[in-house]
Amino acid sequence: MNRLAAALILIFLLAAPALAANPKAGDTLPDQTVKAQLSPAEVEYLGLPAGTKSFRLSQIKAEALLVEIYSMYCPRCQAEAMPVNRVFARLQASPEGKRIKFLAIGAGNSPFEVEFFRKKYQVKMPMLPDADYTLHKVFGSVGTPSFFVLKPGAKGLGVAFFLEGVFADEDDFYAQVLRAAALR
Amino acid sequence: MRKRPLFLAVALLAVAFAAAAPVPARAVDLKEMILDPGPLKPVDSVLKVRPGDTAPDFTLPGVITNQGGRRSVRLSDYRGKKNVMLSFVPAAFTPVCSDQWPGYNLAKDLFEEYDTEVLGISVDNLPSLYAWAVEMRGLWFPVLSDFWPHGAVAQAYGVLRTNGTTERAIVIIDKKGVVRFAEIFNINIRPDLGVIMAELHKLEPEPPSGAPRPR
Repeated sequence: MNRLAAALILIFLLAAPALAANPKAGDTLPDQTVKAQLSPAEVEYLGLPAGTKSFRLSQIKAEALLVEIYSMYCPRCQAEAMPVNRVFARLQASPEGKRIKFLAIGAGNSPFEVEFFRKKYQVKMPMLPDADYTLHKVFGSVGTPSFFVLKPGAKGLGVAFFLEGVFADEDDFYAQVLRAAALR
Repeated sequence: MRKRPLFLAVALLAVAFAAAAPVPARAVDLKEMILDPGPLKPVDSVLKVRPGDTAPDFTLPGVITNQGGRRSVRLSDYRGKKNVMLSFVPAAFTPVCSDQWPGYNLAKDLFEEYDTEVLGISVDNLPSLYAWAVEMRGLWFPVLSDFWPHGAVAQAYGVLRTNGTTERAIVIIDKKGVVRFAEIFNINIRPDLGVIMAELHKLEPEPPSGAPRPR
């Protein structure tokens, strides 16, 4: 029996890399319920009912979601904050871009840390604290920063685009997002 | 024979737990270069300082990357001048530690508004600490080496673990040299910046202009 237990643990260890593999286009993520204290402006932006405190990601009124997994403590996320702001502004300014909703998830970040990051970089898009890494795990425990384009479907949230790391070129990234969301 | 089902159940539970445990987020540039030790015993020492105690003085060699290299620091030099936050971390080039001090980099303005110097401390030697600080894209605060006699300062504060690394601990010392806050945090988890700022707020009650209000 000791051997059986050892075998089970070995199987897990061998499977761990597969479990830890990054998401890829074509995967489906579970439609996670999110608890968050959103401002009225954020609720309106996401197209949720007024006073929403808990929602499923698929309830967001959008043809596609752009999600950034970041951390206040990650130097690359800090360096990427202003380019990310510009991408958000660009989406907001474009008729096709407006069909995508952009939100950021602070992996391991408390509400204080999320608010601090928001004020530091004047972030305008909704930001969700994820102090206990619940959402981070749903999104595959990816490195920070990571970006997903998600298309809500019957079985969950279909991954249309995934990038782990910073985007090298804002124009390319913006175009990739629109293409993945099938808006270009 | 009776033990077999129990043993099997325990093994299955261990596997399920390991699969379900959340994994801390890691910056992409660190993800592949850092050895993950896995979950560690959360706390492995007993604090020797309490609020109200005079902080044990020390002098340690250090580096400050943004100001060109070596810098020796004596704690008592800050008396009458600045509050001090000691940030003990377990070791250089480890997962959670590499994801802690860059946050204090970003919060430099907050620490300054609370008139507080941050002193990072680990038991690594100076060259390793310097390389680590550079790899974190530089730090504005001194990083001190408690390497030899090994962990002597950590020992004085009660934050030296049995394997020779330090705890993940925060000690806040006021301008009179008195400990105002001391806590060993779970080594596997980063301390919440909100908790730190709430403690600094007690020392300097004027809220920083750009900061979210502490809890």
